[in-house]
Amino acid sequence: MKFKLVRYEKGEINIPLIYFLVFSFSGLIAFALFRCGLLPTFKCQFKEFTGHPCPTCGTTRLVLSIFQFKIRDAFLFNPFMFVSGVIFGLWTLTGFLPLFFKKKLIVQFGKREKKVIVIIIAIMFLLNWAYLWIEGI
Amino acid sequence: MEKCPQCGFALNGDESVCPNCGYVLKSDGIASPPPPPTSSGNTEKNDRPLIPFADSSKGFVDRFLETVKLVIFSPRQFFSNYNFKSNIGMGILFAVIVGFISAVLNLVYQLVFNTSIYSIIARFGNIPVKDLQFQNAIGVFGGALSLIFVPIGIVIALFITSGIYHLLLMMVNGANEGFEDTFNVVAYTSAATLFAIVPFCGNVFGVIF
Repeated sequence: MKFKLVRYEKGEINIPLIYFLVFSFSGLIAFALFRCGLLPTFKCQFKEFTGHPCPTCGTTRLVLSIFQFKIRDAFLFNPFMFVSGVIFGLWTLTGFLPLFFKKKLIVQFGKREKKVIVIIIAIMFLLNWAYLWIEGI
Repeated sequence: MEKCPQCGFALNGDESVCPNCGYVLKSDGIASPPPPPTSSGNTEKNDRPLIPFADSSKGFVDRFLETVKLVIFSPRQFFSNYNFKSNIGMGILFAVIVGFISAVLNLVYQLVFNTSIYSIIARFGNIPVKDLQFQNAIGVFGGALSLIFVPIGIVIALFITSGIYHLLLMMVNGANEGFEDTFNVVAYTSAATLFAIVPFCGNVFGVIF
């Protein structure tokens, strides 16, 4: 895996920055609604039908815990989604590189590395799902 | 045997232009430089026409209707023949327009059907009509107010959906094109939400479509 800083060409779309703005904006709206008690609650249809959690169950409670600044609880509600969210958040921050340094970050994987990473993600995903079942989240 | 450097077509040697692809072989006795090293697949993709909605040479309404028609009635032709490398701004605009129209249609149907249902309930349920009318008015007012947030919601949903699709495509080595392509495909697919024009089952049909 290689991290490379390459020149940001003028007119290129800054995708990480767009995602940063979209998620910051929607996060702020959700936080405001939560504070006013107007945030609608969602029920997982998978859990409704089967009685067992789906792989993303606990994400709403994870976000609500973050809004209450309970980071440990947030992690325990769905560790996979929490870690994914942190990695995603770090990636969106790279959107500021073109603004200040006129460069963008590129992550390059070899074919074999990519396969290994996909397998690791799949295992983590399944382990996380098993954790959700065992804990009854 | 001599071959065209652009398409590989077999030549006799005396042609000045390739009879297959039109590549200029000789100009005033000077052979043209070899073409830039591009894979044939990329050349083919760049030659694809622009999505009608992104083609500014036509009128706005015309290109909007043409795109909607293509997505709904000829989806295979649309998604295989057009160049999705265009500006994502046009994709966002298209999805916002389509989403807003379907939201308005849903609100109108809600207004029409709720009013009739409430009048039936009032007649048979021995409930004061004024109470039900008030409830209906609040519902419609809330719906109309929520229309303001529809465009914001559509943009957020577009980025989340296309991000998830692109990530999944990357995992299975399917993201051969850039993020813009995935984004535009998701954006133009939203034309299916116009099935909301059919009351009751339109939204469900749009999702399945």
